[in-house]
Amino acid sequence: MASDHITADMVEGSEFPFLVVKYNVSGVPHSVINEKHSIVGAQSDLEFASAILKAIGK
Amino acid sequence: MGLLKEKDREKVKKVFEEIEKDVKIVMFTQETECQQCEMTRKLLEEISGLSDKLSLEVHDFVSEAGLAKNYGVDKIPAIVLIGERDYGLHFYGLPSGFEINVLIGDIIDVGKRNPELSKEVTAELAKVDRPVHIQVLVSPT
Amino acid sequence: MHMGGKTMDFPEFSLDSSFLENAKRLEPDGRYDLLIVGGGPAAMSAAVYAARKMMNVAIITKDFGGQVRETSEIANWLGFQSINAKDLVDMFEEHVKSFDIPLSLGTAITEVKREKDTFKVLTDDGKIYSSQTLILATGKRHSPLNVPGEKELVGKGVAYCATCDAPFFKGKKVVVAGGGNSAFTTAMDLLKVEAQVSLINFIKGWQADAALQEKVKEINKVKFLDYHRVVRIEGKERVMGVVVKDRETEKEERLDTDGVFVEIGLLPNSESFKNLVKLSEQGEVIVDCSCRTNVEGLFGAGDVTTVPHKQIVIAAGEGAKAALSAYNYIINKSLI
Repeated sequence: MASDHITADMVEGSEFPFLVVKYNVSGVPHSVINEKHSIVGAQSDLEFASAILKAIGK
Repeated sequence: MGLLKEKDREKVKKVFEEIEKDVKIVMFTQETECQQCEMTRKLLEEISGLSDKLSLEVHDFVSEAGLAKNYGVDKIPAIVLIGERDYGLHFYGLPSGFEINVLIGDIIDVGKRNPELSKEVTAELAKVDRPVHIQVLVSPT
Repeated sequence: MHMGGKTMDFPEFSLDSSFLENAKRLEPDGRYDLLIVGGGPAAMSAAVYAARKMMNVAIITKDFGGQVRETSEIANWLGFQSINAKDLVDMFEEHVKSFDIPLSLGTAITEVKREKDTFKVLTDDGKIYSSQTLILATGKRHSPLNVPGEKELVGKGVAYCATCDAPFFKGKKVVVAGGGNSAFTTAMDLLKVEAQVSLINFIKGWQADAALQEKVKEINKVKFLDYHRVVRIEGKERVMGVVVKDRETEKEERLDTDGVFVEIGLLPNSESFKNLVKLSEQGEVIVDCSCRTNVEGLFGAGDVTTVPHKQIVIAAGEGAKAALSAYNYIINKSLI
């Protein structure tokens, strides 16, 4: 909601196993930014925001 | 008997009192519904009935493929939450277990038109200048 | 439920009140009689007592439950031969919430200051709250091993408190990580319930008091592995095994086990007020038996303090004392 550029999906791993395999998920929550950068585990809002910026090269 | 327990329905109704503006819940399923889709639809029907600010639209992923594409939906069951605009907020799969709280919480955030992020985080996110697609894989516990 | 094909179990929805409910928000303007920082048994008990004294009280905490959340069954809370930890915490929470106390949930404190006779608490969402008195009940956190499998299996074989959980490992295989007094005490507690214990210490040798070490060694049933590192904890629904590495030979070995007790130390959550109040060498808030600290109007309760035993029922008692002390302080002040 905070940014027009960001879209976010919450995905039930058990219903979409192909994604679990695709992103090599072994623990949840497992977040993936732009289909490439993975973050495992719960993060604070700020840590997540930083990860997003890092993923887009900022 | 609904999918939610009576006392849970009461809890949700109460927290939904915080919703200030209309929230449109858009769901994509398909004609021959798989169990997940059917459950999800039934859940949403129950939830949307707990506040008069919530409305539910159910669409067919196959026959309304163009609409699905517009909402950025690529798999089903899919739930999209719309406030004054499409925020790109999607839920894929039945949000059971603890995940139901995330859906309810997000409906409230959209209904308050406020994701309640700190100033710092909002400032960081303002630096985002290109598309970012976040997928959070969870499993119902 | 049948759907022309696979039968699906009725889905479970776990609605979580404290996640959803935005209880009354704290007012940054205005001065509370009492602010309670923390959400464990000490804080909750203090809240109940303060509310019943009709004090203008508010709570600031990340979540409710504290260390109690890390265990599964509790057998020493008076009145219950056995109660599920989450159920107990839910009961505490219900009781506290019945008083409609303003609550800042999900927030951690960053700093506590004193300005004249008012306490200022700064939180991680950038807000400042003021009060005449303050109770510090932030408890402790376990030094975790920080290895894969640990977080996921907490309560499913990974445990941090022997007093609480040893009975649940009767006759089972357990690995205890640590080399000091708490590790050895844990080993003793486990041996008492006939568990098969292995002690794993990161550094060389054993650091527990000699007398305690003797006692354990005498029993002659414990496997001692010093200078070993826990690499990871294995298991999906429950702990199944642990992989350790001999730091000397660099060889890895997998041990079958039903449980891992992490006893490598506890850290008091006192960083945000270490400049305000006197702490012990271990970082605990020094309190007297009225829960007073060296700062007027500032009280401490529960595990974050120097109270000699860290137990739920003791924390609850300390919380009550602290609230009553805060109440008396305010009454006496207004009489001057």
